[in-house]
Amino acid sequence: MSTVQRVPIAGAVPRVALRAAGAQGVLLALALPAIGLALWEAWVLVFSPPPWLLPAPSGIGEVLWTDRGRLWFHAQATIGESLIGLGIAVVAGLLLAVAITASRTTERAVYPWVVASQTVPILAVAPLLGVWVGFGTAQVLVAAVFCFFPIVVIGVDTFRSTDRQLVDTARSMGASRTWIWRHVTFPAALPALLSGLKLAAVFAVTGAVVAEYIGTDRGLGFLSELTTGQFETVVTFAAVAWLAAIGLAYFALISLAERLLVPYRYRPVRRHRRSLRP
Amino acid sequence: MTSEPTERLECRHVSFARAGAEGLLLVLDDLSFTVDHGEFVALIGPSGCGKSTLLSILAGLEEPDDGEVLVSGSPDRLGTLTLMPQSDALLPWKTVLENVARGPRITRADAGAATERARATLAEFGLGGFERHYPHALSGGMRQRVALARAVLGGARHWLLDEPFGALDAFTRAHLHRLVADAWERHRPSVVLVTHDLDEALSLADRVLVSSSRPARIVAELAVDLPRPRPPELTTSPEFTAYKRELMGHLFASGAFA
Amino acid sequence: MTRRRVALPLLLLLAVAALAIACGGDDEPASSETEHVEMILDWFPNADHASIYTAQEAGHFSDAGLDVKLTVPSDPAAALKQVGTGNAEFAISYEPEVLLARSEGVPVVAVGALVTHPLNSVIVRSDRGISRPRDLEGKTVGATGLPSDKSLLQTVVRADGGDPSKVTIANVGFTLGPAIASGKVDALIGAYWNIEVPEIEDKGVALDVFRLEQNGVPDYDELVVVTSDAVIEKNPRAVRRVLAALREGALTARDDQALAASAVLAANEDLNAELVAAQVEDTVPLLAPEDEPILNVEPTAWVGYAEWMRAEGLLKKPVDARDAVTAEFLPEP
Repeated sequence: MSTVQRVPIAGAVPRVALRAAGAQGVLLALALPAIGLALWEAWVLVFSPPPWLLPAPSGIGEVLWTDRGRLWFHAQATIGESLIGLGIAVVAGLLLAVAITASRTTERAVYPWVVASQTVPILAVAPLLGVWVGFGTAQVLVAAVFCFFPIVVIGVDTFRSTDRQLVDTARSMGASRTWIWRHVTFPAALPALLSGLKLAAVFAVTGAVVAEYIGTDRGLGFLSELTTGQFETVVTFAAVAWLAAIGLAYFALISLAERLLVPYRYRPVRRHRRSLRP
Repeated sequence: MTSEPTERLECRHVSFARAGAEGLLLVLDDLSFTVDHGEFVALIGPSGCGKSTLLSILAGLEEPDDGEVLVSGSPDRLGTLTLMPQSDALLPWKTVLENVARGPRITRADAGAATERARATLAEFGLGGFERHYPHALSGGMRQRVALARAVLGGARHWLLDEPFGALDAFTRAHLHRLVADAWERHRPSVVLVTHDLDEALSLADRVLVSSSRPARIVAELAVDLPRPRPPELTTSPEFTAYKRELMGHLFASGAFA
Repeated sequence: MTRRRVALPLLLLLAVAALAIACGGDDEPASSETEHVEMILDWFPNADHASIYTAQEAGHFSDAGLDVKLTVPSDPAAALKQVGTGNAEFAISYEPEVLLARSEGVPVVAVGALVTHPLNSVIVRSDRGISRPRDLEGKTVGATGLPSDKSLLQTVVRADGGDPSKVTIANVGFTLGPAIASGKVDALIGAYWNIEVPEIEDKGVALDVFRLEQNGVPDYDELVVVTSDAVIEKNPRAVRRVLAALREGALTARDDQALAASAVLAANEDLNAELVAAQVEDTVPLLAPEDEPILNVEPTAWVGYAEWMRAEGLLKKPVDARDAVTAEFLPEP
C-alpha cells in the first residue's frame, strides 16, 4: 500500500511561507516603516521645518488621537464609497466576464467598449456626474469605474485559460455548461480572481478619494483637500495615514478570504466536518 | 447481465485533420472499428499518431471531418463515454469523496446514496480514510484510483482510457490493472484503452487494434484469447509471449519501431 | 585697428543676445536693475486679474524695472505656502485665507488690496421666490464645502431675521455654476457676483445677488497682494515697485477696458471674449475705485474681520491681524 505523499501542485503555498506570515512576518514588516518614521522625526527635530510645511510623526500621531472623531467620520465615508463601488464593480465585472467568455457575439460587441471605457477620463466627467446623481453616489460610481476594468480582464483571461482536460473530462461525463461553470471554471479561477480583487480594492480607494476632491462634503480625500487649504497640514497627513491603513485592511481581509475560499492550496485535508453540499 | 447489442460503439471511416504550421495535417485516416457492449479493446500505436484525438472524437468532444461515430446507433453521444486521461483530471478543489460522489450526473436526490456508494468503492480500492483529502495530497497511483472510482460511480456504459497508467511505476501499474479489470468485470462497460505498453494491452484487452503512425489508420487487429483473470505472472507464460510476439510483428510492420 | 572695430559690435551683439535669452522674450531691452519676481495667482487668469495683466501688457512692470512671472497655483493654499517658504515672492490671495495662514504660522503679509470689498456673495435664482435673505429658509443653497461658506451664509440669513438652521446647504464642490443653472439648488454661496453671475446669466438663468457686506458680514478685502516677512525685510523696494506698477495697471484698465480684456484673454484662451468684456466692465470700478486709494488696505478693518472669524470658529488659533497686513508700501495716490 502506498503511503501518502505530498505532491506539490502549482499554486500550493509552501509551509515556509505560511510560517513567515505569523508573528515573525509582522515584526519584519514593521521594521522598515519604523526606521523611516524615526528618521523623519529626527529630521524634524534637527531642521525644524514649520509644521504647516512638514509636521513630525509624533505630531501626526497626536492628531490621530485628538481628532479621532473627525477622522473616523470621514474615514467611514471613504470606506463606504470604496466598498460599495468595489461591490458594484465585482458584480458587474464578473457578470460581464462570464458573458464575454460564454459568447463570442457578446465578446465582439462588448469587449472593445469595456477597454475604451478606461480611456475616458472619468474624473473629467465626475463634477457633472455629481450634479446629475448627487454627491456620495458620484464617488461610488467613480470608484466602481476605476476598478471595474481589471476585474473584467482578469475574469475573462482566467475563465478562458481553464485547464482543458478538466473541462473535457467533465463534459465526457455528461456535465452541462452550468455544471462546468459552477464546479470547474469558477473554482479554477478563484485564486486569480482574488488576486484581481486585491488590485481592485486599492483602485477603489484611489477612485473614491480622487472623486472626493471634485465635490462632496465628507471623506478622507475631501478632508485632506480641505485641511491642505486651511494650512492644517498635520491633519492632512493623519488623513493619509488613515488611507494607508484602509488599503492595508482591505488587502488583509482579501488574503483572509483566500485562506477560507481556497483552502485546498494551504492544507492536505479539509478541515471542518461538514455535510457534503451537492 | 445480458449482452446489449444496441450499446455498440461504432467508428465508421473516421477522418480528421488539424490546422498545423503548414496548412492542414491529416491526423486520422479512414479509421473504422467497432466495440461491442462489454468489450475491452486496446489501441496501441506509436506516440503522436493521433490516439488522443481519436478518443476526443469518440467522446463527442469533437466531430470527425469525414465518417461518423455512433453509440447505440446514434451520433448523440457526448456524456455517455467517460474519459480517463493520463493526468487523472480530478478537480483539485474538491476532496476525494466530493470528486467521486459529486460527479456531473449525480442529482441532489441521489446525493445520499451516491455518498454511500462512493465510500464503499473507495474502501474497495484501498482508499478508505482518505475521503477528506484533497487530490494534491495523494500520490499519482492513488489519484488514478480515485479517477477510476469516479468513472465507476458515473455509471457510463463506455470508458475511454487515455494512457492512464503511463506515469506510474511498474508495481502501482500492476495494482491498477487489477483494479480496472475487477471493475470492468463487475460493471461490464465497453472500454477503449489507448496505450503504448504491450503488456498492458495484452493483460487487459479482448482485442488489440494496432494503429499506424500519423495519419493513423488501423493496420492490424488481434483477438486475445487468454483466460481471465489475468494475474501479473501471466505475462511470462508462453501463450502470452506468443501474443506479444505477434503484436510486435504487427508493430514493426506498421513502422512503430522505426 | 580692425580687430577692435569688430570686437566691440560683436561684444555688444553677444551681450544683447545673452540678455534676450536671460529675459526670456521681453520685447524691451531691460535695464541692468531688472528684478525677476514670481507672482502666483489665486486661480486661473480671469477678469479679477485685469490690473495685473494690463500692467504687464502696457509695460508698467518693465517700466518699474520688474520682470514678473505669473503662474497659476495647484490650489489656493499652495500659493501662500510657496510664498511662505520663499519659493515665490508674491501671491494673490484672499483676506480670510491670509488671516488663516498667519494664524497657522505661515509668515505671509498682505501689502495691498486689488479688490477692497467681498466678491463672494449669495446668489439666488430669480424664479424661486427668494426676494430677501430670510426667504432662504426651506430652500437649498449650493456651497463649495469650505467652512467659511457656511458661516457667511448663516450670517447673511441671521442678519435679515431668518433662521439659518432652516436653510439646507448642499456641497457641490467647484461645480457651482452647473448646480444652480440646472436648478438642483435654489441659490449659491461661494460664487463671485462679478465673475459667475454674468457667466450663469449668459446661460439664460436670471439671478439676484445679496452682497455680503450689505447683509451683516464685516467688509473684507476679497483679493489682496501678498508677500512674505522675508521679502519685506530683504527687498522692500521690490514690494513698492510691484504695487506702484499694479496701480498704473488699474488706471490703464479703467481708461482702456478693451486693452484690459484682451490682456486677460491672451492669458487664458479658454475664456469667452464677450463674457470677459462684461466681467471687466463690472470689475474695473472695483480695481480703480473712486472713493478710496487704489490698492488701499485698512489694518484696523482686518482686526475686526479677524474677530468675526474667530467668533464664527473659522480661526482655530488666535492671530494678531496687524501681523498679517501692512499699508506701508502703498504707492502715492
